[in-house]
Amino acid sequence: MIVIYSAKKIITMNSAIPVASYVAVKDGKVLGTGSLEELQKWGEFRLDTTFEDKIIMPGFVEGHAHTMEGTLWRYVYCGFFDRMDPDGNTWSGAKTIDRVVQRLKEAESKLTDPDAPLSGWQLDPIYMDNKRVSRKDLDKVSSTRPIGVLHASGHIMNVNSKALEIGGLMKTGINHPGIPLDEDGYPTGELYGPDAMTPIGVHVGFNRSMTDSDEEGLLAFGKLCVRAGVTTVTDLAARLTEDGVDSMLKITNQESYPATVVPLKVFLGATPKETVDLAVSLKKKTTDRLKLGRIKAVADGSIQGFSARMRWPGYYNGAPNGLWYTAPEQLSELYRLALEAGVQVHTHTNGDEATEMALDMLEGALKVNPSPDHRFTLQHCQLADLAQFRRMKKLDMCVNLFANHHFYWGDEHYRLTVGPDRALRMNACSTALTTGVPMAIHSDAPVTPLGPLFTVWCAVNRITASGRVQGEAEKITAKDALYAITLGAAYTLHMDNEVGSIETGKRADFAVLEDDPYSVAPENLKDVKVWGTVQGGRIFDAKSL
Amino acid sequence: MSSNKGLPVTIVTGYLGAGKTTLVNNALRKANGLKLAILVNEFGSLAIDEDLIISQDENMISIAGGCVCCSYGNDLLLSLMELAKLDPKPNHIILEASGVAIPSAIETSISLIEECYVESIVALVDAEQIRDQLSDKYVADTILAQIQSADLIFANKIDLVKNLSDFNCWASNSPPLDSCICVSHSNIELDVLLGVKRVGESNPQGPHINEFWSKTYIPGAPLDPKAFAKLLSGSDLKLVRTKGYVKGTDGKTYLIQTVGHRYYIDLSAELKEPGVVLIGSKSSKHESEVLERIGELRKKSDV
Repeated sequence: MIVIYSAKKIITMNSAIPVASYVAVKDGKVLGTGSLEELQKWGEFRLDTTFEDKIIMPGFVEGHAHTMEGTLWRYVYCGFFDRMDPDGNTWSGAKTIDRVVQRLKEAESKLTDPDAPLSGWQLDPIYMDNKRVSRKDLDKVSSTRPIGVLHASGHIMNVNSKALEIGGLMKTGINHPGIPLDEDGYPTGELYGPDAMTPIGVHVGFNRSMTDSDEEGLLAFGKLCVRAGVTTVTDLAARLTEDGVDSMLKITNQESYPATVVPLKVFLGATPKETVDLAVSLKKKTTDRLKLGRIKAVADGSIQGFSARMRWPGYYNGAPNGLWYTAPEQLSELYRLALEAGVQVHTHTNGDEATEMALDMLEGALKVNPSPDHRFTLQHCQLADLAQFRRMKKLDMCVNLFANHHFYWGDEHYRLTVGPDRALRMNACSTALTTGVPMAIHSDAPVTPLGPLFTVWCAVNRITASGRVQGEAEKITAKDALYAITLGAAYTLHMDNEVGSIETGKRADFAVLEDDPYSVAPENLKDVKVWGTVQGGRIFDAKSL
Repeated sequence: MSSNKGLPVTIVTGYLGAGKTTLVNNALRKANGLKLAILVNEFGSLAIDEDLIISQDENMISIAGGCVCCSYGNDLLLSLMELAKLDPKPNHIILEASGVAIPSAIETSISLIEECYVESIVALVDAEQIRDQLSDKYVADTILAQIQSADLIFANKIDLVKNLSDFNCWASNSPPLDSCICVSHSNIELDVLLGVKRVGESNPQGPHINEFWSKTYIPGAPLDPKAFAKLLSGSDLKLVRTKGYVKGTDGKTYLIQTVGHRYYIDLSAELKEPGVVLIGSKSSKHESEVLERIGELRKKSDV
């Protein structure tokens, strides 16, 4: 059965027919776009006017997110900024530590099991005049129940005295760089880095498989996708255990699941060969809504955590250089084997030395296994300079830049981590475009909220949290940014043949919007309302999820 | 420093290709009743020699002689906590760090849990490659940090070095490699790697070790155990390891252990005959020289 949808405006991203008023859908795919007269010749159809006053765009493709955001919403939201949960409720930002404590108290009073831990997430004291949260603050919520609150960066956690006690750290004499001490010699309750967080994290609800979204979490994440207009989403560092894959298959195969999930197997705890072999065998399990067979490697750490690998002159505040998460030789072997097997690798590089290393390793691997159209992608790639973008182009690489990061942490980078000049060129979208490197932009949800239109706003305006424009030269146009969240991101996943535009033969994936992002003022791009999505021809109204 | 803090952990550090995996397999072959738990970053295809494996599941390999091997991925501390719960309890944990890990950071992390303590950090370097590696644009600082935090450094694959005197000359002018011990095929006896096992037992000559010498030192009169342990671990003697009992000036018996510059002192529950097994490297200082020097140092510093 053919359904023809009418809309106020259909933006197709197909240059042959850039704008249309009708789109015909059959078997979950786009039959064509154009006028009603042109489309009705396909045969018997039903006209659906649901979107008559809406704007339809290709469904958004989020090229770097983590489905664990769905799981995190079961915890108490302690973020500074307003954020919408999977059920569509907007949680107002908690602007002070007292407000965070109050919010945790409200959640605590609803718990019936007196020993159950209380967990919160997305705390970010950077915006609260960098006031440090201590265990004493969280003790006001409860002194008998372990409490842990994960920071927005994911690299810091605050816990209360009870959690420290259960974890065996409520004592004096601890000497660890990740565990600051109070004047009384006991830990303040701030835990920096995974080494300090893990032993306590298990007692406050954050366990080792936290990066794996469970079934309930994956369902919740699907709802977030609809609210953000996203129809294809990556899960960019999944362990992909056998059970994990089975449950992802089970959930995404549900007829009501609203997104196509693209999980990348993280290169960790296995050799390059085992990892590539696993990716090859997982590829066979691919379905319409679960695309398997890609690898994510991690070259270094994070800039704000000072664990990113930096080239000279290093960190602005003099911090020592960061850490390699993967040795150059391992990355080189992974690239070589993956190119040989036709498996795509996305590599996290934050610092510019990590980017340089990945470029060197891929250049070497490509000499061994020349592979046209490999589309290996650098993820984040926040500090790359012009020369590095030129090399990416020469090596046929893609890049996925962390536009949202610029808003949330740009001020910190300017002031503390990399200093003004390099902060101005961070996430250099304009340089990527002028050098011709295929580009996507991303949220890294849950690190920042899932919302491609917000990501577009970030890349177009380059405004930081304090309201400054940082890096005028790297601003891009709304048109380019909207391309980056559709066809641009699809290209980095080798999926531009399936999604990313509304044209004959592609999956009927639409973002249904209340306003036209091409005609709003650039500063209003983030306020464009999302009605919902169409995914594989199925309609998802955000209001009735 | 006291070692009464749970299971001893030896961290084996070194860049890719230094011979860490071979070292682990050698240790398993020589375990001889000792229950070793091996923690590796990844179950590589060659992590454990197949003939040693009894059974394997997703998280653990069971090895002949009651040893086990686990991979820790990104959760080292949890894996250590789980190993400490094993029944029967392992005698010793060998942690094979990833090629880019900084062992001092691992040690600091392990200090957070009560189940284990770091007994020593042992670094392997690929003697043939190390000079190039220490000028590599990407990994030189990582490798330097690894060897700087080690108690013992082994220059492995020394048989592949073409000009040995040139290597020795370079190493002796490149601290901390000036104290490195040359070995081949990761051939390091368990007594050297994990500490002297059976102190004061039947063999007065101590263990037989190829590249190493071993001797039992009888301290004679009661002494200050801390001052003596410091003396044994000083750079002057170039001792690899020591372990044994001494009588303190307070009349109590103490167990002292040293590995490189690191030392431990524990009050001993039993009254043992004083005697400390010393292990030195034949290539650095001979036993007679060391024994003589201990006498001199004790006299000089009144220990």
